[in-house]
Amino acid sequence: MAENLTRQQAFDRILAAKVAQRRKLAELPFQEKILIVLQMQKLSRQLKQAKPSS
Amino acid sequence: MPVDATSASIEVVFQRLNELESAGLIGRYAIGGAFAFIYYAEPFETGDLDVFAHFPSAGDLISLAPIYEYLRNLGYSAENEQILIEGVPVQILPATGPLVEEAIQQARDITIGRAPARIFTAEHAVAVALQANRAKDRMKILHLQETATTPLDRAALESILLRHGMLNRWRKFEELTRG
Repeated sequence: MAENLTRQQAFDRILAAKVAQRRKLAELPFQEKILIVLQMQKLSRQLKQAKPSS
Repeated sequence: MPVDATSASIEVVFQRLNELESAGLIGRYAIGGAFAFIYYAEPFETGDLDVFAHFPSAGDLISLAPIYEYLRNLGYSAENEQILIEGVPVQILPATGPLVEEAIQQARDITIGRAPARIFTAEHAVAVALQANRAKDRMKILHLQETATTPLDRAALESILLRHGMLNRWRKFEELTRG
């Protein structure tokens, strides 16, 4: 990403990368998807348990 | 605190389900619910792995107790109708109507590691979600439409929906969600 981009171009590029990433995730083997879900559950639990620092 | 699951332990989850089936504690089973959507699309956060199964029973009453007992004897813990197998929260649900019965019967054969398993077809997963029709069910359908690796077989879906009297509900859903 060395070149200068307009805001719209930068936004479009990020959006395209997100779509590609979602497609990549959708194509993962089922076992890996289950592991991802379990990681999400773990993260979610940690966030719910988090206390404000101040 | 549950031990973190690994690819190998996930394979064991399905071996255990196959053992339940072989032992006659459950009949034919298939993965449904959110994980059926996840199979065909991008993963998203959800709770349990829902396993829909036929139950051997003489009448209308069924008992999940033998299943829990079998799994408890293997060292797994059960709480609130959920059982933690190899760190994976699993819920075993009896088939409660003709649509789910059909979804189990026509489920797709898959292999997880070396363990055979069955999963609802994408079209049956959508039909079952549409039948429940809660906001989260509708979101799962939209998510599938957006990220599925292969598009839904519309003819197959409409045939299921027609058979189970939900074609109008589907048309309305499509109308409301058309971008």
